[in-house]
Amino acid sequence: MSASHVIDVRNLRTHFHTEKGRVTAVDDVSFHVDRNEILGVVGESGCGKSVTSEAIMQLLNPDITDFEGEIVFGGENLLTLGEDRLSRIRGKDISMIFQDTTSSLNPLYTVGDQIIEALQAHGRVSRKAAAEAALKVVSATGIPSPEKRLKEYPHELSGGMRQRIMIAMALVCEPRLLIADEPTTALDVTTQAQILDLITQMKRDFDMGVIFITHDMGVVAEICDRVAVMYLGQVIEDSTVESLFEAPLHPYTKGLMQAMPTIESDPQADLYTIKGKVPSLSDVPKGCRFAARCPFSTEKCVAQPPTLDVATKGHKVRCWHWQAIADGSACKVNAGAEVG
Amino acid sequence: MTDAPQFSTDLKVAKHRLKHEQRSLTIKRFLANKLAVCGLGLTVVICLIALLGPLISPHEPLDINPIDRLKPPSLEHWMGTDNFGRDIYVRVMYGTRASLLIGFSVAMLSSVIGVAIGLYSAYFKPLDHLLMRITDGLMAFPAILLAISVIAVFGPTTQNVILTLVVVYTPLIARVVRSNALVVKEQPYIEALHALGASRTRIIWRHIFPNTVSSLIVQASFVFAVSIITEAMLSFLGVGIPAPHPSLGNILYDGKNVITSAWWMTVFPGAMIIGIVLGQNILGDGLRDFLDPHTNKAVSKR
Amino acid sequence: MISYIVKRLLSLIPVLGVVAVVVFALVHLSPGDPASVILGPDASAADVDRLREELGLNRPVPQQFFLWLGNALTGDLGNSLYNQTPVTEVFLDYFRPTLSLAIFAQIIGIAVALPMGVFAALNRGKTIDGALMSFALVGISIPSFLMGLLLILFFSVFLNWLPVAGYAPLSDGLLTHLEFLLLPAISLGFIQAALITRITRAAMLEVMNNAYVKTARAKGLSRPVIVIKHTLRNAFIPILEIIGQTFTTLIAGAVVVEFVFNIPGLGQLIVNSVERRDFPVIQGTVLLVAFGYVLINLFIDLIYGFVDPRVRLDQ
Repeated sequence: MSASHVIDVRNLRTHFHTEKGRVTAVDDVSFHVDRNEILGVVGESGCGKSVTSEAIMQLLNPDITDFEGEIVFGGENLLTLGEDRLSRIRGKDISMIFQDTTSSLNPLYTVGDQIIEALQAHGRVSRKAAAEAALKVVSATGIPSPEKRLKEYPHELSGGMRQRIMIAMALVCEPRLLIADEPTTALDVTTQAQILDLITQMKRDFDMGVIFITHDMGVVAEICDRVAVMYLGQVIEDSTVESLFEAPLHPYTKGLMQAMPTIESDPQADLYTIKGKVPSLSDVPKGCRFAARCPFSTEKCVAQPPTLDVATKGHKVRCWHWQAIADGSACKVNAGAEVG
Repeated sequence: MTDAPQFSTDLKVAKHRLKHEQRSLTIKRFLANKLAVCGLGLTVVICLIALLGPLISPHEPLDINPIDRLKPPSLEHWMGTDNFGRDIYVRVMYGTRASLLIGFSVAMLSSVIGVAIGLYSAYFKPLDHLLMRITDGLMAFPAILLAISVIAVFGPTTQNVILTLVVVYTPLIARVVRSNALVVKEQPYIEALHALGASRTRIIWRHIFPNTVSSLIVQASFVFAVSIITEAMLSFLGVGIPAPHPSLGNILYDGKNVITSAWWMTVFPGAMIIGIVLGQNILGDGLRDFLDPHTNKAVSKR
Repeated sequence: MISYIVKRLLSLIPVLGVVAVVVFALVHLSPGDPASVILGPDASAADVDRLREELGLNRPVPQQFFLWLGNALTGDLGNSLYNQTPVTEVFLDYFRPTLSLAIFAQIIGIAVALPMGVFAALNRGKTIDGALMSFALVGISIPSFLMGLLLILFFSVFLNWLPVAGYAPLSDGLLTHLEFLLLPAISLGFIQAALITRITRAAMLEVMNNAYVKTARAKGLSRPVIVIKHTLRNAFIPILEIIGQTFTTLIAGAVVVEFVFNIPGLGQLIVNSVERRDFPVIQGTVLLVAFGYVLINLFIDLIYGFVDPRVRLDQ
């Protein structure tokens, strides 16, 4: 079963050593991505979604990071590989694009050079052949007059164009997995839509798996096939997009969706907010991590951490009372939670 | 309404307590910064040595004693004697005093002038162009060459040495103050002060100046160190503090001619210079860490 | 690029103007009459009058300034009062050893500092980083002339190795030239190395925080490529800037180090000229060194434009 997955993350834990002691930023996270599939990883900032993606790429500073669990990719556990092997996988089999387009490209080299460099790092390609390949992939991203763009420096391009270049750079080696870390957050809405289309199209063309990290439920609905919702280092709900949007099971996910304005929402009414704030990673609650903010929390929630259980086919949730909440039989202990 | 005066005194007390707490917190944070404490400690120790050191020796810096020429360190002469039979220990102590005096005077004077230039040129654009071109020009001169020429014309006195160093090092202070002030000047609260009708002088000195103090201190400690080095160089070349009076530089000059036979004439004043400069450099590094909260320290798991 | 160069050249004019005014003022604003300052207190009134005439001191000051400036621009900085040779000629004779020393020291400094700074940055927070940085901190606290004295004490006196002092011009052969320059260059290069090590480390750490370094790793580039191409090259800009700014300290250091090692360079020239009250030479030397500083920094700005396309292409 797992052999068919592009990547299979099993019980990943990531610990950082900071001045304040050991902090577990990612706690028992499992998910997998298949070919031609986009997995959305959703959550607020600090929930561990970016740490998870950088753990897959093994980009975190090894001096201050410890890992547990497995990240299986192409039959190998990425967590146990040496730097040499990893650098052959990075950029070739797994690529990554980032949120910040201004500083993600080196200002001293033309974008063409930076794409060619990615190609040449993974095989003996002549510069001419590499340049042709670069031109091809950049044209495929739909940038106008690609030959000219390749000779330009990053600061001469707009944010949207830079993100296209980043995508071209990530895809030039035809990877099996693309990790997109909030690639559209810094872009305006029109450009955002174009970039999302581009990623979807590239996924199909290259038959690759995509991990799409975002905090925007709207983006998830638009492009993802499956979703993992993260809260404070844990996956709290894992489902297909259809099932999730039809019936979100975790109170936190429900909250996230209600907090999203839709075309039908009453412009006069206040938007829903989840009350309270995310607890600090250095002070993680003993039981359910969402208990303090949850309108349905009980003593059991505070005392015992829930497990990620299968609710319906292809839909997992980490909540003691999902059944009762779905039935409507759970009572809101934390009355007034929705007002706050 | 009736307890409004009560409320305002409460506020005053609270404000006072807050200020007090903040100060003690700052002191605690400073003491936790090992570098700054070490540097300050080293500087203070050297100042004390220079002040108190001569008191415990029976010798005078200018006492010539031809019989005791070039004697190595002994119980009588702790750091040996020079080619005139003068006691090196006492001369080093007086020389250190002279160095510290020059370093301190130059740091103070160039800070005062530099702050004024920096603040006003940050605030008034046309003045900025003029003053910054002048500082550009002054920075083109190696301090020592300019100092040599000034002294050649005006005569070798401690005063002239100090004045020249002030001319050369004021631009260093002015530039740092200016770049800081330019940043602060653009802050919204300065604009708000304008809107409230605060006077320019008040804005410049009461609101912009305090924000430049931290980098000013770092830069001033740097100027202190380089002035001491430059003075030592000048005296070493024979154009600094005039001859019989001891300075670390001219002891080294006397020592250079007899370096093959009297190592103590080089090692002791040399160690003193290194000590002073090292103290300032450590202090400067420490202050920079202390004042810049961005330097986050990575913690290794091993 | 051309407009960038032109802009840089134009910005030199005010700086050079200030330099010229200061150098002119040095002698001409001195208390009392420059002619009597030059000739010293024992000169006869007739001699002073003759010199006044010769130097054009009877004209108004602004006129004197422009006359002097005009001559200076054509390379005429007057003659040495000591042996009547043109100042530029005297300067060039004595400048050669100083330049050799400065270049040699700078090469030593950069060659030592770049690897040390990069290595320290890559091992940030570890023991080796702490050790290198403590070493550099001590290094910037030892003035070069003192380093020279200590080196003489150690190598020549205790170990009896190299020539204690002296100088052989390049015409005696490169090796002999360098042998005599080795200790002076190490003395001068040591503090330079310490300084550049600190800057290199700081600049590297700054650049390593940039997202493009992460991109480079995510592309699967090898570590040497990431360090050299995507970190060091970007860090090189602040490093270059410091190298330019410390040109004056380097020359100043060279002047004093030469004096330690009895090398017939600018140091000796200026000390002798002060003794001889040879003002045109002092004035000319200060002017030309300041001019050198301006030129070096112009050159570095041009490299800067070459390295960084953002500078080159702006406007």
